[in-house]
Amino acid sequence: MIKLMTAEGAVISVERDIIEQSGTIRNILSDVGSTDKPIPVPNVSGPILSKIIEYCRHHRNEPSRRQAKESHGPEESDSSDAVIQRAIEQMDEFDHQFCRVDQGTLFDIMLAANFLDIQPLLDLAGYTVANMVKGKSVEEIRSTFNIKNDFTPEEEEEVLRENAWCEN
Amino acid sequence: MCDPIDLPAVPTPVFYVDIQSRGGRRQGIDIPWGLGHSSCQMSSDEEDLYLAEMHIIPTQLLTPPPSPIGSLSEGIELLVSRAQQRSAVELVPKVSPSFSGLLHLPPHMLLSIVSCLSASDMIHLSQTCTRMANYLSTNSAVWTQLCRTYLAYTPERVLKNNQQAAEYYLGIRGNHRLESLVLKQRKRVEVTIDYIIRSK
Repeated sequence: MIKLMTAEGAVISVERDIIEQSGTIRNILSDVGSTDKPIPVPNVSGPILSKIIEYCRHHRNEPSRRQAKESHGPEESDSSDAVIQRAIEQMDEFDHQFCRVDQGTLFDIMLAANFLDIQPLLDLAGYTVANMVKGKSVEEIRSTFNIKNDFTPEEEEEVLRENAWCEN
Repeated sequence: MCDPIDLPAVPTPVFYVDIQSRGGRRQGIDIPWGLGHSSCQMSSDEEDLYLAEMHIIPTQLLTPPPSPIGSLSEGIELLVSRAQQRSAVELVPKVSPSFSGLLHLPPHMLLSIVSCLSASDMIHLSQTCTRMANYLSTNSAVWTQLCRTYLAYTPERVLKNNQQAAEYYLGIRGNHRLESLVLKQRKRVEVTIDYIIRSK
């Protein structure tokens, strides 16, 4: 068992094969060797770490996922939509449910996956966010992500003019 | 404000270790240059003085330089103790109602999201706020990165200019047929390269 210390200082124990899906922890363990001391993950809070462990536990018997992106070659249908579509198809029911969280949690999971170097989870969260942008108008994107329109009228006009060439 | 440069120059106390006084001679340390031989003809006091001059080593030189983290395991212990000292209250993120997680992602994570978007979605995203407008402006280096990362075999002349890279990327991403053709061509090139490598 490997002990992880969250940002709050709480210690969470997890099986080694599960947490080794994290490149960061894998590297620490290969440097330090087996250790009883808790490994600090100062950027990850307890609830988020629990979610990540839940994800890793579900995918513990799928080592191919780690190399999935690297080994995946370009295909004829590899357009942007097809990439998202294929990624969504590869998700199982657990992944769909896993991503049904509030936006703050989703971004926290994304940042934690980045820190812990769990590429499949990072991709999953990235595709989920991209799907939230897809097909929305400017105003809808603003309200979805709580983005404040900080353009001056002149700036907004300039941006619209600059983008006009590729709108058609 | 205290600038270390402004501090008065106070001589650092130097503590010495005298090997001889610690019984170095008695423990059989070799005396250099034949000092122990009769040819030197030094008195006992002179010899002691000479040795004291030659073998006095400042303690600072005998002590390894202090390091905040001696080893990885010590570093982990340090982080653990710091985490324990911090209260859970101060770690609760102070999220303002206007906080947008999307705008606070590091650029490389934003890049992976943007790469999944079609041209029209990217344009809509760029029109939401100044940060996104700057990030996805035609002068931004993000287009070169997108071309390099997600569209292999982009002509080098295109990559030299951010605006050309933007037009190239959006031109391909915005046209599914063109995108498919480019990726089909890319697949053919890779198959050919693979065939050449195998035939050698």
